[in-house]
Amino acid sequence: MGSRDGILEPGTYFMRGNDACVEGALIAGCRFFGGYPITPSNEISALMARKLPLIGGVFIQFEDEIASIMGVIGAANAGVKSMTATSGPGFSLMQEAIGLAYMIETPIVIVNVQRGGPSTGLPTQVGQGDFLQTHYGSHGDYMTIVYLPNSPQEMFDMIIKAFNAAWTYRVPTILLSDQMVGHMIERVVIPSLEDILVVDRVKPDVDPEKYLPFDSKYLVPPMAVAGEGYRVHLTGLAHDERGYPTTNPETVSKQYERMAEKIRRNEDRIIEWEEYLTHDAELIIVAFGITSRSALKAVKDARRLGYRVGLFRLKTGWPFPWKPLTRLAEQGCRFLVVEINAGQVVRIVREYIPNELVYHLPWHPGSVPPPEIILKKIREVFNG
Amino acid sequence: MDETKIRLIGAGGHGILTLGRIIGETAVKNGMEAIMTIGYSPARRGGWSRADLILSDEKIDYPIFTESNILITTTQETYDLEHRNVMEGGLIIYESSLVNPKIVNDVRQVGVQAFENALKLGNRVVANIIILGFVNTILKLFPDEALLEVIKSRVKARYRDLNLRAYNVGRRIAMDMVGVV
Repeated sequence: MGSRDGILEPGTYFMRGNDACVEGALIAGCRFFGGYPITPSNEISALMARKLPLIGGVFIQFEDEIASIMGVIGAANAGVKSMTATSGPGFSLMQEAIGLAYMIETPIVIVNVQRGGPSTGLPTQVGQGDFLQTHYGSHGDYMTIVYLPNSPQEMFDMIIKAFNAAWTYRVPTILLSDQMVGHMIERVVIPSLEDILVVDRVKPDVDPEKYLPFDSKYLVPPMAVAGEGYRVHLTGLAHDERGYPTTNPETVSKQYERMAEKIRRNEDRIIEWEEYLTHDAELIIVAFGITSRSALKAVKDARRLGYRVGLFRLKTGWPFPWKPLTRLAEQGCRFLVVEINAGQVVRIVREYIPNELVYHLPWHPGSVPPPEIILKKIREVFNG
Repeated sequence: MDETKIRLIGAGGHGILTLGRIIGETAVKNGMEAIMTIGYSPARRGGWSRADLILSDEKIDYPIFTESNILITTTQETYDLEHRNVMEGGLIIYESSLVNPKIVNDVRQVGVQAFENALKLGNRVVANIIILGFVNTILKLFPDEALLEVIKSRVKARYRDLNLRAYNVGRRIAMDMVGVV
């Protein structure tokens, strides 16, 4: 089993998705976890509680999800890589603070292991209804980076990417998983530490008197932390380069623009997707998370029956990989979006692809659309 | 090899999930692919737990299945629940002191007295390891050493010998069954 204490040794494991997420987070340098128990994300808290104290980290179970994410934001501003994990109602409670983290450019990682919603919904069963919420859940305009794992291996790989993205761009980053991927157990290969890219904070190199925490000469300003001698002033109010509240239109506009541009200009570097048999496809299925695995089987079955079908799997939700998607549209194919909700990814796809070329297979939460159902829909699209 | 779908189901505490994890871990550590999903009856004492495991030489696309090739079941309730969901030509392995098997067409059924034999070894907990020794001897999924290696890494040193003996009891029961092996 390798070491049960602290950082896991490199090797091949048969590991649950949620556990793989913890192992990856610790390798990425996470040393603070704040959370409140909720199914189906609990294994993440439980393993964090056991492991963090062994490697000099801190685990706090707060009174609720609002306090949890505020603790995570505080810890990150003290220079500690920090995360929380939650699901459904807990993710809703965290929304306001996600906006705060964006506003004060604090790198935090939030794991949402999706269950069926809305409200209490289906606590122990799968859902994909939080896709739009990861971008539009908090008030005001803001941006997040969102990774979409479809296996325990990707729970490991992508939590590391999430930490790297958060600390590269100083932006809240979300690992949007689901109950199936979080709970399934599969092969997970942990590489040796020197083969894993871990990004750390860029610290200011100016004298403390000259330091501007939101210096607009940078796209992503270096981040001083409380206690290192630099003045740190943080507020959710619109602020100037020093971090002080302002309503000056020019200053406000400049800061807002920079915060959006740091993601926009790096979009090509951040986006990830995967294509399977798209080169000659007449119909391309668009899916993410556990649904993409059902879709992959459906694509293989459809190919055996002679249908020219491919798969476009979203690996980042935000930024949305619209460029590769529109490139595929140029080859004259149609698209079928499959998702466990009433229609979220399909809305975004229809922003970029003419409506008449986009088909949709929505699915209620509680189960995964089986490959046979997707295949049936493929036949319908082909046979009119 | 095509995908082998194994459904393990029994009462909570029967070591069903551990059994699934041992088989899956042995698979991935020996170059195969394995994926396991877990199900429970609504939480209550005496409820059942289920591990659905797929083994394959190739990457497994989709983890969920309805019908299994092999059903391993340790209670009458779970046998009744699942015995009709076994594919033609499949195999049911059941705990024979707790399960009265029914007639299932085109499916082979084999019983093993795991709990009684575990008690003889001094600990009911190793019944699942007896089942493992039995199952692997019949199905020849892995070399015995590969499984024992994984068992050894999962149990405390003072229980290793007990588990090794349990495995061998299961193996012996299978070997003694004329016509099965």
